[in-house]
Amino acid sequence: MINKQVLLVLLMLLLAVSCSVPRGLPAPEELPYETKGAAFYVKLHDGSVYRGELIAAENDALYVLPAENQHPNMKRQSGVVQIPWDAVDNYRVYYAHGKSLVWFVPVYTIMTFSHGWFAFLTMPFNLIATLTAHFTSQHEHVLRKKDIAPEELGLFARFPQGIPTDVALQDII
Amino acid sequence: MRQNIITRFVLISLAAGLLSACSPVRDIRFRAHYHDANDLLYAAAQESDLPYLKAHLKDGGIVLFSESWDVDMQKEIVTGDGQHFDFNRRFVRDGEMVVSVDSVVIFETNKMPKNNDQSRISSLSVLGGLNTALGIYCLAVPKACFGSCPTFYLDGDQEFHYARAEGFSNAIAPGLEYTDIDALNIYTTTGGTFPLTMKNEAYETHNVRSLKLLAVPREEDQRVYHTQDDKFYLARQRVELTSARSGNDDVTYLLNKDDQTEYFSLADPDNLRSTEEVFLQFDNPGNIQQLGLVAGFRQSLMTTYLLYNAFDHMGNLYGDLLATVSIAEDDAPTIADVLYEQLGGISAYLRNSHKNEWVYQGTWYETGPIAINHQLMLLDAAHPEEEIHIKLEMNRGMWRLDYLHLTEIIEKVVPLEIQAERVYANKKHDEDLLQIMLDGDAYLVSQPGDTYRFEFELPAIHDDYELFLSATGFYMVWGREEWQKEKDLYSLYMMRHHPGRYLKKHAQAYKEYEKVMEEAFWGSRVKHQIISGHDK
Repeated sequence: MINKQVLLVLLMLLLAVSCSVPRGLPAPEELPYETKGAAFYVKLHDGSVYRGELIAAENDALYVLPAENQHPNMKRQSGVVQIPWDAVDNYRVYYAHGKSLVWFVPVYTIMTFSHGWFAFLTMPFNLIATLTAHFTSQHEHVLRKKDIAPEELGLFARFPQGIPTDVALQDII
Repeated sequence: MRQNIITRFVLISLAAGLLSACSPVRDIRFRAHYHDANDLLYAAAQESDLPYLKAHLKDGGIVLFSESWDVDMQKEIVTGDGQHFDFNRRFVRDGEMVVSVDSVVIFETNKMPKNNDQSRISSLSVLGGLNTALGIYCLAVPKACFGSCPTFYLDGDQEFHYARAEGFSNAIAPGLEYTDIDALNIYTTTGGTFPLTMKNEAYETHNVRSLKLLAVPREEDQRVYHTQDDKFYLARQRVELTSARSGNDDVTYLLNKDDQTEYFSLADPDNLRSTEEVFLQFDNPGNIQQLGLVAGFRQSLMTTYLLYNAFDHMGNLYGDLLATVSIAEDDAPTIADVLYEQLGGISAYLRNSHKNEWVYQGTWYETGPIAINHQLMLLDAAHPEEEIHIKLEMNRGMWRLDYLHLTEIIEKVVPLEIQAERVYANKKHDEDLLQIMLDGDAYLVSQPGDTYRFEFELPAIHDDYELFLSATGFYMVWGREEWQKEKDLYSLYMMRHHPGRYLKKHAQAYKEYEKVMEEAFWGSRVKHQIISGHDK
């Protein structure tokens, strides 16, 4: 019974960790020099998903430039995708990468081998603590829908003012 | 009980995990947008350091200014060193920039975002420190962390806190091999196949010559107990404890149930050899021919600590000295014998109210801190006409008591001996191992981490049996590198020949060990209350 519960907690944490942040994000200290929009994840009511750069967030629609390496299940688009707000179910903004604390997980787990009997307690304890620390650190610079309102998304868009009038969507790369 | 442990463990783990991790900072105020240059200037004036500035241009381009920039409101320009990028963020030029305020649609300022990395790493460092400290401690006192002798489990109980028996704890060398009988304390059996799992959870080599199940048929409301000298008695009726006192403390609630809520006292800080008394009272049990006292008990980690001290003192002679134990022809006492003589077991005395004296009844002694022993002591109290008063004498900090009750002895019985029908090594059926176990002269050799499952068939002629485990063998503790450095033959000599002085001298060191290990070791499983005249 205890093993099942502990394993369940660990499995949930591992799954959470596996929901990793996108690659290629700037470091927090590089944000003042970042010229592009933040990495953006948006899920629509119809279940489709887009991942890519947040180009603009206007009153009636979002504009996302899908990443080239998006998941196979996602719709592939060339150029910027316009997404009406009423189609949006959920979104997340990834504006910087967090510090990786993943090395604590194996190191601390191995340390518990020296704890003998107590390892039954200290090993899961260490696993939970280090995985949680790594997960929260990785997601330090992630904003979920509840953290940022739609009207604030412009802060992390390439064009906070909206799509410039002289720029055609198909020209944006 | 078990659910409580699980709940406590999960809650502690989650709390500690969250504490160590600290929640992420969800604060977007490190970045701000201004549509008007005056607003930008006003905001910049509130800051001690000039914020980083980006100018988003109407054509979709962007100018990144370096750390120094200026807004000239008369000329309506922004100046400073910077870089210009077009709407696709292709580099245009860098150097001195002069940007008209009219061409800027949004000014963006950035500060370094806050994060909790430092507190997160600090918390993990504390955890790392605790891991290291416990690791060092376990290396210094391995017996306290790495188990002891074979441990036996019923199905479903796979973790050492739930071990039902530990085999031949005193047999630390081939010459000290003996048969150890432990009650499995199962309230009902359902017949058929009875599985038992044996584990080697220590840095030891276990040599098991024989493993048998001892079974005694019983009827409803009957139990079978064994005594210190391994005689078996059928019993019925349970006379509950009505009062138990240690000094001025009422400890009845700790001793009146078989629930692993244990009575335990801390050792005397001045001398490890120090006696304590616990006074028990039972209601008049009525007209009973033969009365027995039944107890659930086990040792604290004191003997474990002292045994490992002895190994430490042996240093690089550890192997040689243990070998001499096996080949010695005289009856010279071993260190284990000396410790038993000094620290003793749990002695029981019955009150004779007519003569106003305490009459010695017997002593329980079983080595090992893991599995609880369940044993009987026959009392010389036929036809008691009044309430029963019993005094227990034992060394302080040496024993943990779970429960005590009286019972009516029906008769002496001889158990059936049942050999294993099947043996599984690490979940694989192994016929060769079964033959070794049935041989009687061969040994099943178990190394650290090994797990064996034995399946016994209970005879179908009875529905219910009281079960005991009989294990014969010896084990050898693996020498450790640290011992090579710590040879102290004088202390070993003192331990063997002047144990009284030795136990006095090492009391303080043991108290340090006890403070950490007893609480940590047992706190993770059982409820107990520490009662000690010196340490309350």
